Amino acid sequence: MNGAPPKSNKEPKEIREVQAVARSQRLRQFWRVIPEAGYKMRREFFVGKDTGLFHQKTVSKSMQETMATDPSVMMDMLKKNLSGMVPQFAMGMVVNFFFNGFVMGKVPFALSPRFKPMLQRGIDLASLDVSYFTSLSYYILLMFGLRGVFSLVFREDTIDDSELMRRQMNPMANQMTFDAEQAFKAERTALQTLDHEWELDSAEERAADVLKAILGKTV
Amino acid sequence: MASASELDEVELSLINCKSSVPPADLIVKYLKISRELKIRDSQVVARYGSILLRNYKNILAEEEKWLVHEQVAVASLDCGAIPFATDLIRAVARRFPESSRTRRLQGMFWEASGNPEKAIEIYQDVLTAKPSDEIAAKRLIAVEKTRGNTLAAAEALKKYLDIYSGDREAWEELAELYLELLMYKQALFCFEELLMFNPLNPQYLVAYADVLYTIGSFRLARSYYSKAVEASLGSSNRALFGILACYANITEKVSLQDSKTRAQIELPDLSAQALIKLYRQNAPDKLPLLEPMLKKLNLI
Repeated sequence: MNGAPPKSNKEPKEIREVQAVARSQRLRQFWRVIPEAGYKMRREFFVGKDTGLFHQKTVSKSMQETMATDPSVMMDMLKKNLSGMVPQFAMGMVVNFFFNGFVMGKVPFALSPRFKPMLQRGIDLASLDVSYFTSLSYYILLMFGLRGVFSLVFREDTIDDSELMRRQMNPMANQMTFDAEQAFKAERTALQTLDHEWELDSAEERAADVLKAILGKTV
Repeated sequence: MASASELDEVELSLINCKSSVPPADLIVKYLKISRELKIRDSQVVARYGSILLRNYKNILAEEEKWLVHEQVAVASLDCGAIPFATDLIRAVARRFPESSRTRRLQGMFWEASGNPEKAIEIYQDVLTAKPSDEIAAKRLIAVEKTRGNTLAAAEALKKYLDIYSGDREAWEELAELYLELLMYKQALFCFEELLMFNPLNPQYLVAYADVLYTIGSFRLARSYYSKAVEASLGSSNRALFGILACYANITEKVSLQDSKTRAQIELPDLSAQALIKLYRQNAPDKLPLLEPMLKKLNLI
């Protein structure tokens, strides 16, 4: 049902680009803490005239390119999406075939009439009490409701809430491959506009304040 | 996500077990939490892991069994229990002959047996087959370090960081290597990288200030010690000592001009008093060691 995320077989060059962009973002976030010389050195490294990292051609391909040149990527995505759903579909059709037109059971509590189309697929009796439900709707309800129980029973390692959430979110997250060209461009412009301002100029004053506050309490 | 205190709990219950062979699920739980938290308590892991693998072999599921094999093998290599580790690694190799993880284990075995050349061979093989295997790359660097070629290790680590510039622990390691090699400017660069990961970490700030102090940039060091004081809310005694050390070394008189210079004049006194307070609270028997030093600096 929930597959593991695909293995990323990235070349070191691609990894380098991803991590370099991350490093540049960290630099832009915390540049005030480093003295000016350090900041200038790094800025030169990233956006220097000819040798700067972000001026180099990127090796990673963007999403469209990979889709076009590498058909296996498409196949992987399709396979993953479908292989989860096909058995569910098949079971649903079997249930529908065998139990069509039957009322399965009755919910112990009364429901408002709005639940009718949800619980009574396939039966068009307007006068039937809303508490009765059919097989197909029961099947779908159970499938979604007991997903947690299934994973407990069929898998060895215990999955708590965080992992379950992660697995549910993962199929979406893996669609985004890293677009190096765009990231480089963004970092280039961002870095070139930043000038340097050293936060630690007033460090001594703030330290004195902190110490005064601590000492003031006991005196 | 388990916490360290949970791990301690399980460890305590393992130790307090009546028989010499504690129940299996307790050991399994302990090993699992250790894996999650990446805690490397090799003696405990090796001891209980070996009990588990000898007595309760069939309890574990397939996937977990081999994870435990790997974990206990590394722990035994750490403790020097090489023959036991050999058996484990052989079992892993039989089950996963083509895996790069197996080869890494074999490389570690050769490292532990004192045969670094064989280990280097294996790791380089792994890297040619799978260039993006960063753990093999790091083990190569570790081998260089154990052989004592600190400079070569630093060079290799620099190349590694060119690619994997987001690996914080690697930057920490490189900073340490550069300090060993007395290459202070390069060490400063590494500490700057670490500060960019976590700019309010007092440890990093103090370490950076320490290096600055060592190369003689007292004013810059004082600024960073001050920032460490601020970031740790005055509880970092290393930062306070650092401020005093800078004060001892800056001989020019500063005249009271603005709030910045006033802070600079007040800071040594405040640091001295804060230190006395800290010592009184946490280590009052060491106070007699502190006071003569402060007297010498004319601060009390």
